[in-house]
Amino acid sequence: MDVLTNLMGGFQTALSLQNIYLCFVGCLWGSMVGVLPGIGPLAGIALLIPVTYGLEVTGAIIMLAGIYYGAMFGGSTTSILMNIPGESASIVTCLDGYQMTRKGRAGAALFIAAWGSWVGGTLATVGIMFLAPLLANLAMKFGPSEMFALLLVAFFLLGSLGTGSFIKTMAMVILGLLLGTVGMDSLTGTLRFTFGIHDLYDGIGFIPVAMGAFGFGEILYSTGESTVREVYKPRFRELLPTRKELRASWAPILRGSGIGFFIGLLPGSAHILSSFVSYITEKRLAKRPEEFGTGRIEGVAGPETANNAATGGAMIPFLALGIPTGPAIAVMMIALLIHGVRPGPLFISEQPQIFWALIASLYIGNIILVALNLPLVGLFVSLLRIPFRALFPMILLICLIGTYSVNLSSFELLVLLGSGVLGYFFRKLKYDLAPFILALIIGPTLEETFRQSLMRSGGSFSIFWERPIALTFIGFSLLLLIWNVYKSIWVGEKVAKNNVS
Amino acid sequence: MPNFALTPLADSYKLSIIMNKDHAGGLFFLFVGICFLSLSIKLPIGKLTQPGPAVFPLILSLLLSLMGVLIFFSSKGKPKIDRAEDRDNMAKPLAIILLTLAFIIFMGPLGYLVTSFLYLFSLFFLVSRFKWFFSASLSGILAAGSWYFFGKFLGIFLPLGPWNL
Repeated sequence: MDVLTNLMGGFQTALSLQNIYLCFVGCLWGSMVGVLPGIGPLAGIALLIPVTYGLEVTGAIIMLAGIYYGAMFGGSTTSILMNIPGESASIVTCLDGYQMTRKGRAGAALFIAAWGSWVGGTLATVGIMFLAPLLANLAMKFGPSEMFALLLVAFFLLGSLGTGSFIKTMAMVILGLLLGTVGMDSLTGTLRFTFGIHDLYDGIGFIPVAMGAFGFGEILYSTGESTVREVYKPRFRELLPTRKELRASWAPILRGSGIGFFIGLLPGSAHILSSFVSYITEKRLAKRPEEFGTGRIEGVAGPETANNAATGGAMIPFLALGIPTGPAIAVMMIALLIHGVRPGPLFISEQPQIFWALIASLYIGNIILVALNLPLVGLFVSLLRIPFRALFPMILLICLIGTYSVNLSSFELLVLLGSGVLGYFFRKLKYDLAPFILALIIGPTLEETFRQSLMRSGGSFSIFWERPIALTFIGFSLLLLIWNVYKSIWVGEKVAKNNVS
Repeated sequence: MPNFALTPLADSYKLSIIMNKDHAGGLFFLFVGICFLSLSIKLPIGKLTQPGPAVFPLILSLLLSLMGVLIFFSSKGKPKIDRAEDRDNMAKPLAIILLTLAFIIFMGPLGYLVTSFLYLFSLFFLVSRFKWFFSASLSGILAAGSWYFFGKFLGIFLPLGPWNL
């Protein structure tokens, strides 16, 4: 009953004209960002941070959440119409979505993608409503040793679930952790690796690094693209699926909701992973799996639902524990910190009006997105006709101004440029950037909790195994480490044997 | 290990190091690890009851160096970097990097409006290869539009330059 009462209060706040307008703007911008390849949800959120400065905090968080959800919705449009994923989680949708377009069923694919995304997003929001407060209450019992152990699990999970090899992913994590030590040490005030540069006293700015690595670096990598692609523009009449397609979509949508929600709780590339797992699941359960890849509606319904449900799942550790599980959520966290809101165990109890207004806005946003994405598909397709070589200079300028506006610092523009170069080379060398960004933002907390634990225990490491929750997490981390090392050696031997034969 | 090759070049030979992507990545991590290690040992290490600011960076830089070595030696059998293809692919990114550096350096002295116009014009004309008139027109519109939106509408303080724009 408490939950319902709180939710009603949230709706009262979220249904104000201003907040609906902000939700709409966020969803629209997010959908456009999701549609345009080369600019993902991370850059989309970061670019709108300056716009939120003049807003009251509830309105700001509602708009930012709208962008985040909208980008996941929008990513399917280009996958289905052009065989280009608008953002990485929509890669899988290309497999069957584009084939449906070639068969003249683009409208049905878009409709089912939007419908599945709505169901996945709504069910995930129900999950957030019940699980986030529970998790926050549990987390309030955590001391620094439990928090340290939990973050250790998060990092090893990142390594296990990353898209590259475990060693490479861990190298990126450690690099992010190391760069997170730059600046003033929070416990002793000692300056580390600042070289006398005042702008580094507060550490390396997360926004310029994230914008640089993902936005700028992505553009550097994409400027070689010069192919002209065909864009199919469906008419509004063609948007409705047949009864058979609707019947075939229900089960994948429900399964995708569950898969996406639980994978979204995990740190790393949850959106990509959830859509892949959903696709593989649907293929395994299908009576004729060989038809996947030729235009099966299940191949669109499941993955698109999963990646939207993952968006919701990812909000739970972020809101309840203050742990961002993906780069875009990490940028949202920075945006909230700029507004003086700190997600974490105390957020829900101390600022319930913001939390419940956000939950209510997620329900509203999901409806807005379905209403936007289908009728406006023509507009989004027109955006896609703009050649990338005309678009990227403006995107670069907005990245630069977006970064500059945070602290009015030219040094941060140099950080953006440096991160862009690094991001470009890491992409060429096939390294995953998400673990690096997450480690950069979570690293200072990891160090602080480690040192605080030792200070509390008088220098004894037994604090990590005498407390049962910490022991459980550390045990799980060790299991993950052993499993991944074994897998790396086993896969390495297999590759070596294949090369020899 | 990377391979070494001698290429005949007129009267002498050119020594090339043929590396693959893992060699490059491994060396990068090893280099960064060693740099941070050398800087970390100068920081106070503290005691076990009160770990100092050196502890975490020391552990991490050792781990990073180890990762670099593991990646370097795990690269057996992987395809080498195609230098010719790489050179072609890097021309546009290099141009963008240099133009962006120029933008950052000159934004303060010349002001946002002028610098953004020149930046966009260079990108449209030199990198995207549009005609000069189209590049200039689009750059003017976008520079003025962004100046108005960010500077006036959002109230962000943008450098004015010597012409107070």
